[in-house]
Amino acid sequence: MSPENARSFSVSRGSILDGDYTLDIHPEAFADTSSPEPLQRVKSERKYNVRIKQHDLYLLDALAEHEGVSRSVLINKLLHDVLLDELMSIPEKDARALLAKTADERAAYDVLSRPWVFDAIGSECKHLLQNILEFNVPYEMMPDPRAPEDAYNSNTFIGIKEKLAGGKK
Amino acid sequence: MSIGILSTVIQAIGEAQVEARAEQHTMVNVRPGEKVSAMLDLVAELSGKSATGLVGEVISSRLQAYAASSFEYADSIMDAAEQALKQDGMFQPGCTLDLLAKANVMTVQTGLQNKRPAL
Repeated sequence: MSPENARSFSVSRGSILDGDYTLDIHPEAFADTSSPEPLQRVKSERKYNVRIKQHDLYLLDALAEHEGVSRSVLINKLLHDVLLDELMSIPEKDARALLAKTADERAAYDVLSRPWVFDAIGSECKHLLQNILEFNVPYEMMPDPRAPEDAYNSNTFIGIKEKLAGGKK
Repeated sequence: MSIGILSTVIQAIGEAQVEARAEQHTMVNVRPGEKVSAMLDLVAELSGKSATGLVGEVISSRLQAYAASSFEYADSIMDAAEQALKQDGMFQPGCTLDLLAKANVMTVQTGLQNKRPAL
């Protein structure tokens, strides 16, 4: 439904300005450059029911209280650290980048939670990522046109790519 | 009844208790947020394991590393250990407190040990 272009109403505040008012909107004066990204923040709906040892809960609660955070915040921090360690333990940059990119594509980030650096130099970041994914180095190379697909990639990259492609079937 | 039969029964009861304590788990609802969820699901997909199973597997060892990362957590460790020992008299096998004790971050002198005269 398009917004109304005109509106009439009365003002009666007991002043000299009282009377009938009319507002007219001029559609052609709008820039029409509003962001296509929704303003509403993305709320994660994904939740996991995790079995945690009773004695671990005692320690989680004690540490969370010490830090002044909820148990949930502490668990999330631990999970983030585990996953980051796993990711950084992969020596091949292209494989690491492929996993990070795939996870990012699956996550529903909103514009308010995206790091400023991506707002500021997003295209350069994408270029860097593309080079690593294609050539396994951060700089651009002149590819050999006869080279087969993934010629510059590590075996780990190729393995992960194939596994991810297999999972979609 | 011979002593051998009684000791076998007692051993079985003890083992059943250890097993029962080891099985004491609580289901916790975790909402890790978009960033962590996406990577968690991806790792689960690649490893062929469930995301919840992965979390359950790693939480004790990661919590151990976290708790042992700074002496400022000593009181929290002691509080949790006291609570666990008051309730069960021993740590659940494989729990973080058990791992901390095995890593010599803390030593537990059990009530039974304290009653024994020194040889």
